[in-house]
Amino acid sequence: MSFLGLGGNPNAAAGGVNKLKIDAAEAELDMVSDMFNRLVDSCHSKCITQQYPEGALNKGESLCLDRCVAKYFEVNTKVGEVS
Amino acid sequence: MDTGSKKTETGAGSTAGASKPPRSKGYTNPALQAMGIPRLRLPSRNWSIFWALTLTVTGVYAHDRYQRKQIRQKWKDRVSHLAAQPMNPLELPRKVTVYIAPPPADYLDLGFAHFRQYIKPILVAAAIDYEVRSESRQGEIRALVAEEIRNQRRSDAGLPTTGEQNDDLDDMIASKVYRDNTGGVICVGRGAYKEYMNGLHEGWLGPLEAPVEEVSEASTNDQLPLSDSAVNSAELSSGSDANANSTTEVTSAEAATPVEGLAVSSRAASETVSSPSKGEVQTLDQAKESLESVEEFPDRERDLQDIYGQLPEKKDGEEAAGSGDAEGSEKKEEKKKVPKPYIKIPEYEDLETPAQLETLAKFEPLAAIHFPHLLGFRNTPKRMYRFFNRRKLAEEMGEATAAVVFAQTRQFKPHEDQDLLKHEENEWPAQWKAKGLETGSEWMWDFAVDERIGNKLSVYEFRDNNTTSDEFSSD
Repeated sequence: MSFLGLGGNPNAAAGGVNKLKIDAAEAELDMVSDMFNRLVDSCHSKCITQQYPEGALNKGESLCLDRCVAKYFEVNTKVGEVS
Repeated sequence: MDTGSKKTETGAGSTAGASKPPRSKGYTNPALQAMGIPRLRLPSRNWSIFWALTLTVTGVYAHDRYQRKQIRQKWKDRVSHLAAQPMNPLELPRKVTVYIAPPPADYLDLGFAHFRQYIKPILVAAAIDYEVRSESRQGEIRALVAEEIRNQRRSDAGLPTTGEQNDDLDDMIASKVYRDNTGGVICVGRGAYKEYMNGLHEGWLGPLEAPVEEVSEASTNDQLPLSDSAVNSAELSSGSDANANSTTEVTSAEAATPVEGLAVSSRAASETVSSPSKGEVQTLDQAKESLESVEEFPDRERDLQDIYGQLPEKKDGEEAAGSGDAEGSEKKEEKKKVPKPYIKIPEYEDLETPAQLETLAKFEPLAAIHFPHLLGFRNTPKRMYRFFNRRKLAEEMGEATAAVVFAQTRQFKPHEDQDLLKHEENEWPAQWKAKGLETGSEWMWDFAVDERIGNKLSVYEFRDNNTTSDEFSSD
């Protein structure tokens, strides 16, 4: 993902490399925050009941969230695996 | 319907075989007639019999299923107040370890199905995390448990441990997180129970290193973990001892597979943690060197073929034999060997008590949960009875799991409790048992619980207090 300049002109490419790096970092940040948001939405809809008798998470919900997050990441890695 | 009288059979004898008896008129009354409902009739005798039997069987099954559901729900409701307790985001829930072994002469997913149907719903309703460890062959659970205990002892003594090492991230996480350390162990079935107990004894009373076996006969097929198979398979024993031990492991491990069939369902695969630690992987060079250094291997050509993929020099006489056996040897190499126990089970008296047993050992309470399993044609009536009465099993399982959930324990009594679930052994197929005795397989070994360990254990047993006051915390 990092596109380091391949032995190019160090003077001219300094700004270019920075920009590339910044772009790469931005893209990655977008991706991570997007994944996080999806994760939160998905696990919230699955694990947290629609009635709110209290504001704190209880044990059942916490456990469910643990499992949901673990599964989400596992699915992510499995789907993203090459071969 | 009693008034639906059949017509008298007039002269039926004359046309006996050909004509059916005349159809009865059926029942009616003016009210039904006014509503337009036709005459009510029972179906013919044969159909009546058919429907009666079918609906009876279906009804009995449906009733049993309904009752099972009710009972399961009852236990879930009894336990669910624990799940409603608030929990800090930095807390980790209580974790119970479940050991599942395949029933004799049958497949592993039966054990999983039993767990999933009866035990798991109640654990889930109580918000108790569980970790399932299973085996596909006899001895894996024992080896797993023993190795874990040995690693604990090793890390306490400052020695290097096998298996996964905690890195800094794990330590950091562990320091910030509050764990509920109540723990608990569930053994599903007599086999898993035996293996777990044997593993405990082996781990605490046995040596930290594997005893060095004499390299008697050169049975070479699976000795040296060649790079390909070593990467694929996860060996339990530490790297340096693997060579010495695996020679003698061949006969016992190969013979100890009366539990056949690896029909593990995909869900089971995701639940198991059956390959614990990765042994050291020998590089190709090391393998070659060690092959060349030991001169007692008559099957050296076969081993070299496995390394190189072909025989280095063709020899006329041995070519046919070598190529024929090569595939068999490769298959055996890929099969993981179950490590032999480090001590002779159950001869525990002579073993000295390590000091760590007093200082370090904390035994989690144990539940041995009944796993009924009956095979055989002549057992069919019994099996049918069980099939239609699974609600009773559900009640029994619910109670046993509730004991785990509420952490109601009693002291383990070594002489009585070593016979926990012993009645299950009567259900094991006789031929399977005979073969097991002959080949010396693990489940047929003599089983005893040493007092040094037995006195520290406790067993989950349900006490029906009928009040929820002490059931509020799973403590």
